[in-house]
Amino acid sequence: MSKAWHQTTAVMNFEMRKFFAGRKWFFPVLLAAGPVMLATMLVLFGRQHPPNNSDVTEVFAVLFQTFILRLVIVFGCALVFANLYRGDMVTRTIHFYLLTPIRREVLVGGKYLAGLLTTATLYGGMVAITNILFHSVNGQAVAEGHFFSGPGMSQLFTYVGIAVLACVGYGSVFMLTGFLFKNPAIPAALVVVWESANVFMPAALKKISVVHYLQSITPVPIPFGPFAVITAPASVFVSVAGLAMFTVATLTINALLMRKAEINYSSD
Amino acid sequence: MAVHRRGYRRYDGSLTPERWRFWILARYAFSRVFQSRLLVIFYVICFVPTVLALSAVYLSHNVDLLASMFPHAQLPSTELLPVNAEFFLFLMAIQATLSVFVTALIGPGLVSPDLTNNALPLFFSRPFSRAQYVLGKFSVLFVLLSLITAAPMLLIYVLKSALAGSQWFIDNIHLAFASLVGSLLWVMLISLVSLASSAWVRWRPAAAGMLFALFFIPAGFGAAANEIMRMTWGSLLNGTVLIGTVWNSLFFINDPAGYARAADALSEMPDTVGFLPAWSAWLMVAALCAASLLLLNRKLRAHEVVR
Amino acid sequence: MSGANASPSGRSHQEMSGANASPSGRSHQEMSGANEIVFTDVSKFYGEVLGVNKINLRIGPGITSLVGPNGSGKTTLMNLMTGLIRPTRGDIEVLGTRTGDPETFYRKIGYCPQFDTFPKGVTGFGLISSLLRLHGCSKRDAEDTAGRAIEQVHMTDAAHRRVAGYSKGMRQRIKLALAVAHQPAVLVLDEPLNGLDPMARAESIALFQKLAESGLFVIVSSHILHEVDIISDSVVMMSNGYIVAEGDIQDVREEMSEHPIGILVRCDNPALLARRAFSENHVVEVRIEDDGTGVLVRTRSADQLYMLINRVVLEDKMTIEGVIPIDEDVHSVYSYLIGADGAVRL
Repeated sequence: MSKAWHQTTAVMNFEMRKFFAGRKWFFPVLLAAGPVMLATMLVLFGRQHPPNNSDVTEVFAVLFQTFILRLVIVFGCALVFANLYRGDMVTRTIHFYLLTPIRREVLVGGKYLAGLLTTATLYGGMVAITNILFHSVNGQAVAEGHFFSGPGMSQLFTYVGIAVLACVGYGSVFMLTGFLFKNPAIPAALVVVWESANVFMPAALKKISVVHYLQSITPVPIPFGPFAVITAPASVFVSVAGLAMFTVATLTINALLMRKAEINYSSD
Repeated sequence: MAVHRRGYRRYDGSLTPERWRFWILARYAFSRVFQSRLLVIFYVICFVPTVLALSAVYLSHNVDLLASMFPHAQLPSTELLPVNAEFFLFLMAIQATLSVFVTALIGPGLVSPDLTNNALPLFFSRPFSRAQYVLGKFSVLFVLLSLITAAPMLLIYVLKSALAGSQWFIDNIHLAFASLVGSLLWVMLISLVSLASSAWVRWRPAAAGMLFALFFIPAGFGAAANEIMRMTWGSLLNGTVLIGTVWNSLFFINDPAGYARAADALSEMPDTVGFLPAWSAWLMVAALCAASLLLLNRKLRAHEVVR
Repeated sequence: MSGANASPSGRSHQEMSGANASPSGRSHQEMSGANEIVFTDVSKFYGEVLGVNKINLRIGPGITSLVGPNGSGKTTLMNLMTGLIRPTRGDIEVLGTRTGDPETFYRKIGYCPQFDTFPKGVTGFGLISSLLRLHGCSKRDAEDTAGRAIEQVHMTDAAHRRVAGYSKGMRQRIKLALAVAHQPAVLVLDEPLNGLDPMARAESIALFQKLAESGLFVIVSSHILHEVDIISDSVVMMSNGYIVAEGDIQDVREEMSEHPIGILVRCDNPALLARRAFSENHVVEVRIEDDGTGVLVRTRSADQLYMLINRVVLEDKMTIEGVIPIDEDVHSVYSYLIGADGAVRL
């Protein structure tokens, strides 16, 4: 077990080195900067006519569920996770891994954990910073009251947890699509459209999505308009356990497929 | 070394004039593009809305024919389908949406493979400049997209003029001008953005994904900014609103009331707040084109310096 | 090269037929799967395109060269041997281990592939030390080992520069360092001398020979036939996905009876030798050199010719300056068997 863990951390280490040494970090970080920039703009320019705290909470909830969850995290995970395998195939460097004494399942696990560590840190951190900045628009005293005396701290942890869970779920999906498809942009686009249209789907189809379970555990519900289909949210246990099981199943499929993988560096 | 038998002779035939050399690149790109069956099928589908629109224009001038096809229908005595600015705007919106998908299918494959496979030195070691390279690649998209955007509009205009008479042609010449300029502006914008993203990310699937991302993510960011800051400038990041505002300013150039109506309709779209000044939209389009050209200038080089 | 029993690789025929000789000369008792690379009826198809077909091969320690024209299946064979691709049919064992057990398999094998691509942004040292950690080395051990491997290929000065800034020869040397860093028992090198300057080529060849002498299996593919001649203990010749010849080059040459062996004898009395040679049944052609200092004899049996030369020396007191086989090298065998157009001539 310790050898497998040692190799897993070695893979993670190498992936992080490649991620930051090349230019792969640019777009995921740019995506993460978006909400932070919005929050900064609010703090810098919104102080003249600041919204009251409950409005800020609701505005952040709308921003989180419509922009951060459905666009930023989805695209960011697609960029990071789809590249983990497909990027190595395109750059013709996957053979470096395959020529080492590492089980293919360990390789898949190590790559996934590297992607998860990157995205969870990036987007979890982004959510935390954005939330804190939003609530500081009314001044330090109001912010402290919101976080330390009010529901702010639990909401903050919940939002960060949801962002991390989103990275867990979307990460496994995009890693598998990156493995299966020579052009992972198409399945990524389909996932984005499916997740975005989730609010308008019937209950049975809603459950076949990551965002349904994430939305179920958001601390502040938001209206999605007159055409949204309202369904009972899943419980926290079902959401977290369901996502975990889904991720394990996806990664298992990925590992089994990886065992049979051969090097075939044909051009796109 | 003495050469006893000179078997090698330099080419002494005619050379392609320098101003047309970019077209060589385009010719080869066209042949590669049409090898994709998916693209050919989708490209044909892009003409369906035009065919429907042409049929509708024709039938609206032949009410008798329509009455014979639908004998029990209550047909109005006035013009069935008014061919006006709103009509052209509606059709242009449909064709523009289809053109985005065509661009996503063609654009990434134009520049990315040359960068990935290190082919640029092969081009630039010949009497072929970077500007000609960009022009050659750009012309592929320009021609193909113009055929599904500008050409259908002009066709409809010509058909309507033929059916309605020369007076209609003269009175509505601004519609032809607006649809031609508006379509070509849109084609230029998405072509340059597509080429730039293809040069930036180098990997074809990523370039395709980036094109879609450039439509969704800035629009989402802009909508959020509008909501948070209670302003309208965020709509400059929304491609639909941006080009819609530019088109409105072209179609209603002498019709302030019509412009106000159209701008109202645009502002009622999801995620937009209020009006966007036309000059800002034009400026943004120019800035995007300029930024794309700057990026292409930076990325398309025959060598790469690694430190 | 002089002496009747010399061979291109420097090893004599007597040595080669003994227990320590090249794979084809080894006795059955010494042949065991655990000490060989064994291909059993291996075929690989890429859809309808043939990669290799019905390969039955046993490779022993020492330097074995894979020779063949482009598209003959050398790289496919190497990729099969190193587990990067799986055979459509057949079985491959490397020192008793199969590719399905990567943790054992890849400790034994080091591969320097043809692919000239590297992860973006990494340095030579960073790449080797990171991959050594996947072998189970601690960070410190990985760095020390990486340093030694880089020193072995004389890349210490450039080790901490980005690989993207390396010349082709430097990238080739880093690939070599990567292949040898974990001290494998089998070293598979796909055109390892590509892009190297003459000094670097000589150093690399010396390294391969040193590794082979220490008991490693070194499998090299190359187009540079005179280098293959110098370094190889045995040769595997491929064409169109088939093995057309394998083993010690002289043994292969002797089996090619349709191409009489040419031997140039430099002596003081070429006319005498020519007269005596003409009377032998195994001699097909005799030609005295233009400068009158030697005679070229084509024979179906080199051993009988050598015995004739010995008799002439003893009986007629002829002085021999040199006995040179002119087509007992890889180049000649290649051109006879495969030819310039790559077609097999059997």
